Amino acid sequence: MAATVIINEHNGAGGAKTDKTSGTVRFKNADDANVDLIDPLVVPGSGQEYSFEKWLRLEITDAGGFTQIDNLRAYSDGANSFGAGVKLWYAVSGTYMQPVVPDEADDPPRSAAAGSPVENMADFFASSSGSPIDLDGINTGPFTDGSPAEEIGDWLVLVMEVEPGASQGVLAAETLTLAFDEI
Amino acid sequence: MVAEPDIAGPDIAAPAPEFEIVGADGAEQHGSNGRVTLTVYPDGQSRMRKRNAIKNACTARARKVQWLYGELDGVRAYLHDDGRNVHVILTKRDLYP
Repeated sequence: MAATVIINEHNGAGGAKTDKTSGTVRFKNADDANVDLIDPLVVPGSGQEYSFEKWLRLEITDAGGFTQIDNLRAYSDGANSFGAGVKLWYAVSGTYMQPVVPDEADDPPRSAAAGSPVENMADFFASSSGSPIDLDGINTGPFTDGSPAEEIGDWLVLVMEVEPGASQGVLAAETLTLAFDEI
Repeated sequence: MVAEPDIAGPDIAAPAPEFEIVGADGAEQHGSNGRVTLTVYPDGQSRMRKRNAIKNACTARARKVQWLYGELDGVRAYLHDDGRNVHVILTKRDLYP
């Protein structure tokens, strides 16, 4: 038996979690996990608009069937298919902080997840299977428990940017892969 | 009476079974999913791992992909069973699905 690993989105001051393994992560102007059309991002006339941060973390949801898990990674397909004027930024954090909207005077966005007090986030689409994002560089593995459930590794923090000229409407999903080694 | 010809099975491959690993790092190890087996007979540093990926994560198309790799003195043999074919890659690179 293999370990069962899921992906959670965390929201609010307390970091309430929602299983998003097969569910949409909707970037918007509200800190919640709801996949709705409330509080959408608005195409700005100038500058840029940022979404609330999305805090994602892996979780082992069973205790049996594995010895250890390590080498947590995340990556894109290396190509931004959201269209012109839409970007996705990331940072990695070892501790949870309540999601915020980055200061829209900054470009690229700066986040406390990237460093104290805030540091530049990085282009998510610069990551790929050949250069994945390290998700256990701060909270290091191997992870061996999972009883009854155990969140593991670091938080992947994502922010969407919308620039003037971007197309309106709901965008098609992009590719996110989360990987880990197991014995 | 002529028997019906024995034709090929379903055109769509079933998902490959997951791999299981027996043995400890640095010693003889076997990894198998019942269709293909990888064995490491070490005479140096060695290990075996299942490399899992959740592809298309956070979408309705999310799916798990599993590779198996054995490593001996920094050289890795990756096995990917897609349910129809088995792909083997021999490399020193750190590859992800």
